[in-house]
Formats: sequence, C-alpha cells, structure tokens
Amino acid sequence: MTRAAVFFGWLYGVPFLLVVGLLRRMSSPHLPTSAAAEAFGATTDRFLVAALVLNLVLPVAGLVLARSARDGYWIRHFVGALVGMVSIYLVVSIAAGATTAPLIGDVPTDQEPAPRVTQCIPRSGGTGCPGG
Amino acid sequence: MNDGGTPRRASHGAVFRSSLLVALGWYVVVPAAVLVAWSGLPVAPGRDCSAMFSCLSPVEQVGLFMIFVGLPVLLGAAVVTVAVAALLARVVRWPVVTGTVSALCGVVGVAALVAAGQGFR
Repeated sequence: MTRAAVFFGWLYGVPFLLVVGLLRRMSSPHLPTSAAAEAFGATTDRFLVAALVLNLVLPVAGLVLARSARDGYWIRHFVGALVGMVSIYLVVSIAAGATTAPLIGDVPTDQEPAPRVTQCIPRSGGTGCPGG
Repeated sequence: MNDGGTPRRASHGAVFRSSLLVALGWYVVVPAAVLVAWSGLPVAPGRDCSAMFSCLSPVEQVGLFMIFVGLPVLLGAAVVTVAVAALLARVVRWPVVTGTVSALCGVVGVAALVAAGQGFR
C-alpha cells in the first residue's frame, strides 16, 4: 500500500506541482506592490522546488522500500520511475533553457510606482545640489 | 503483491483496463493543476466587467469552455486514448506506460485535429 502511494504520488504529484509552478512562472499576474511580487515569486519557487525534490526523493525512497520488502513487482515499477525521473529533469532543463528569466528565484514585475526623488543629497565627487 | 520471483503476466484485457485508469488519472490531474495555477493568479482590480462573460472566475470559464467546446474535444481525446491504449496494451505490458502514452496521444491527436480544422477555414 505504501509502495503504491509512493509510486502514484510520484507519477501524478510531481507533474501536478510542475504544471502549477511552470504556469505561474509563465504568467504575468497583476501584482500591485513589490512585496506582493516577491510573495508570488516565492510561492511559485516552492511549487517548483517541491516538484524537483519529490521527483528525486519518491522514486529512490520507493525503490529502497521495494528492495527491502523484496517486492519484484514494485522494484520494476520504481526502476521505471527512475527513467521517468530523468525524463522529467530533462523536460525541466529544456523549459529552463527556453526562458530568459531563471526558473527558480525569479521575481515577477509589479505595478508599484517608482519612488519620486524629493531630496537632493550631495555626494563627494558628484554633481552638487542646486542652491549649494 | 508479487513475490518478485517471476514477472507478473497480466492478460491483455487487464493491461488495457489498467491503462485506461492511468489515462483517466492524467485527465483529472493535469486539468486540476491548470485550474489550481489559474486560480492562484491575482487579477487586476477595476476591470471593465460590463461585457458578457468578461469577468468570469476560472471555474466559471472552465464550465463555459466545457459547454461550448470541451465535450467534443474530450470525447475526441477519449476515443483516441482508448484506441491507442487497446493497440499499445498488446505490445507493452506495463499499464503506467500504455496509459500515459495513450493519454498523451489523445491530447496531441485532438490538438492536431483542432489545428488542422482551423487551417481549413
């Protein structure tokens, strides 16, 4: 039962997280503040990191479980899952190569206006402020 | 579960039925992921919602899509999936592979048909 849960958790769970993460990364949502943009980017990163980590952990853990139970049926499944794991990493690397922004760690643009400069601070070696 | 000594030889019918279940899983998981991603996107406030169907929620948009084009598309994908699964289950005895490949063929087949149909217009 545990082996089946681990296998189907990998088979459907990892693509689920990847699809959610990649769609969020490719979207251009309305983010009114830079804080909202950072929070949105962090949530997207969590989906993608969880997918990439689970893609490694679940097949390996499943293979260890199946081997310790000497269950040939699930050993074959998890060996196949290792092939699927490599395929998923390949697909993700191709997707990462096709985008200009980094797949993980990217903060989307926000609609917060740039702060207006209201004060002049003189710098050594720079231009002086009007009026001394 | 099998004791691992000898490979389990499932009948063609059993592989076919299991493949359809795996394919059905894909038809549930991928749209659910799209819906979750779509629901999490913040929308711009102050949109002009005077036009009909201009400010629908993701669930409402999916419902509308299903009413107008979703059912024929899903039916076409299901037919292709069942046909590919029936053929593939004779060769590949692993339902995970046959179900996944047949679901992929169903989606790609319908997308190709839709693209070809638009090309004829």
